[in-house]
Amino acid sequence: MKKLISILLVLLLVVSMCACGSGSSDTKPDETPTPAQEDTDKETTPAEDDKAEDAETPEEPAETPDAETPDEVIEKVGYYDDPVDHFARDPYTFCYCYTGPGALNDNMIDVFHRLGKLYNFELDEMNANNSADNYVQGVEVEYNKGVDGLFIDCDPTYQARVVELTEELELPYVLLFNYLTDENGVNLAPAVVIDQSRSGRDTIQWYADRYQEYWGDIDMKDLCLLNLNYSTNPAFQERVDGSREQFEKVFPGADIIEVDGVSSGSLNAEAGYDLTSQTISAHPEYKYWIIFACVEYYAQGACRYVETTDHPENILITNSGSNCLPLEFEAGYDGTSWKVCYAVSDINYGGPAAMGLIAICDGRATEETLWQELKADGDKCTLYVVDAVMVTKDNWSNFKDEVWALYDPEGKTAPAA
Amino acid sequence: MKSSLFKRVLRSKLLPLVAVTVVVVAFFGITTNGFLSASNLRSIMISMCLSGMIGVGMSMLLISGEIDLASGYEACMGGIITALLIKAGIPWPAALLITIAAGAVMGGILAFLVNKVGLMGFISSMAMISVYNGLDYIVTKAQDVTITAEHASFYSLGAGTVGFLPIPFIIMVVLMIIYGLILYKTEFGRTIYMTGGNRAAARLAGVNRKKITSILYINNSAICALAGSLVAARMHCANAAACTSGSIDAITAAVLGGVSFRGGDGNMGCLFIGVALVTFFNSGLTASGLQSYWQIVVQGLLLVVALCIDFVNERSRQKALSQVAI
Repeated sequence: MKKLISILLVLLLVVSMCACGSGSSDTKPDETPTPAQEDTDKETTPAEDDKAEDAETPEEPAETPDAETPDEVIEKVGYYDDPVDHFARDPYTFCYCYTGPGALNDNMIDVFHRLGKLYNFELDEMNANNSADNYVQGVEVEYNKGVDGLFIDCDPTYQARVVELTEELELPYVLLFNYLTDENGVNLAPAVVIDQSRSGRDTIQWYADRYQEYWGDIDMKDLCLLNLNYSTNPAFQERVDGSREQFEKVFPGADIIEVDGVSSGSLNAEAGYDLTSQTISAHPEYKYWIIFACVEYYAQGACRYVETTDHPENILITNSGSNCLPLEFEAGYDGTSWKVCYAVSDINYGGPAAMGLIAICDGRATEETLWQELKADGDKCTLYVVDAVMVTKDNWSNFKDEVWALYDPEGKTAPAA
Repeated sequence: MKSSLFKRVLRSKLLPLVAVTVVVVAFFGITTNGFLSASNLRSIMISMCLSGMIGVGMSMLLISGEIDLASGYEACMGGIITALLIKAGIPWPAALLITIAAGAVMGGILAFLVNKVGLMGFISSMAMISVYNGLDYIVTKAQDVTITAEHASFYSLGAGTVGFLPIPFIIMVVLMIIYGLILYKTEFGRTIYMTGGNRAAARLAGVNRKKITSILYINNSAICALAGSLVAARMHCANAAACTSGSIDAITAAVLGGVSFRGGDGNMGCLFIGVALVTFFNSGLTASGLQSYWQIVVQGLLLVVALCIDFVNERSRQKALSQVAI
């Protein structure tokens, strides 16, 4: 029996390895290189061995179809409308390195696959399974595999080490979702991020502009903000800080309660439900609530609790993130309490990151010169702060289409309806 | 007779636990506004359900000397299966039955690994965590599987009430009563205690340990799948992260309630009090506004105290047994 199981396990291992091997070839885009690629002058498209050296001389950008002055070229580097024929070179291989599986990561993989078909790169993936060691090892493995650049989506606690390693390996990279600063707040790496604090501020302001439509004139003493936090994540803390600051500004005299999911250790709806129910039940003195959740699942749990209360219309919920609420609307949720979320389309993250990484690999920019017109004074590298949309019952179904149209105006990679 | 019953109650594990729970409830009831309000009590009952239901199957396993660390992930899988089946147009009662059957299959796999292959339950269930978690992500693509409003009758299974009592709470209590009776009143129940308490003696007494633990693994996973479905009903969706903390919460509550980690001891009454104590305690800490990092410390201390009590009880039990033997 044990021998049979051993043989089965070995076979399973072999099949798994074969599947992994074929998986990487599956990621190749359908398109073959365009005819223009055959005419590529290697000196003007330093995609291969000399990529790193060229990347150190961003002041001499690679030749582009319309030769402009260097300053003008720099202004356009790293955007969807860069005047570059992306199929006039061999396809790059980029690796999306992420901490652990999740909805956002899965969406990003889809986005990069679609972008790869449009902008001539192949995608490899590295899932660190929530381990810092796995992450660092994974970066080295990807380097040995010969990838051209990395999208680094990494936990802030070990991001500095990952960036340091990537720079040691001279691999081009762009950070996603989290930025890296020194002790003085100087940004050290190119990063595509949302303004975390603003997500808290804007959602509260959205309700400040409309609460009278739902509640009429209310006494501020009857109102309380419930911030659902997960404080060990600095990004989530910034969101909650923004929410608190804005609430204090626009609802003077109202109270604020902050609860933290760290004690439950869970970032799921169940934890959001418990935190909300425990807090609201303990404070019957408030008639009206605004709940800001730093993560979507907390908002979802809060919403389920609010539905069990006698007056769900007296509780307004909002959050940062846009995977859950559109799905709720799609499933028939009427939006009584959870009316709005601060949404960033995945392409808003993936698009600039991909364009930036291509520009670095092309030698048209370095990590330090990328998007330099957006660079804040004193920063070493640029923080690319992406645009967001307030998603509601009215616009949830199409808020991503507009952004995709910038990158894919002909809808070549649009998923089948 | 009355005196003997009184002595038994005094000696039982339940009494100090009930006393601690009463103290906790009284403390937060006095110090925290609205803690004993009807809405908060109902919320606490709902919060008890996931860990309570998983705790039922887990306690049976612990008493038999086994453990399934993947229970929370089996619950996630259960919720996802239910949501997918409902989405595919299968009526929810049928979906629920299929899910429970799928849960039984998950338990069967674990039972096979433990009893046929000879792996330890602790290790094999840890391995299955990874398998189930990965499968959850593959099946759902890491997204929510939503249950649309047209299946609102299914929602009520997770959030409806009968009178004051939430339906999932009633299901949990019914399960505890059924399994409590099985443990206390049936021969099968006694063999579970025997299996966990002294394996060698159980073997000599002709108890088929593998058969018993297989049944318990299957039973545990089926209950977990049901628990996950109820969470999906309450949240109107299922995902790979919905119940992941369920196993640890259930083990904590069971051990706190006096179910021995070494097997052979515990009952459903203790489990209920353990779950209630943990939930009241957590609810009170949140409602009181204690900083979350301190909450973690206090929760840990509570568990340490419970483990110490368990250790002292076990030692006095062993001492008493050795004296009888002499």
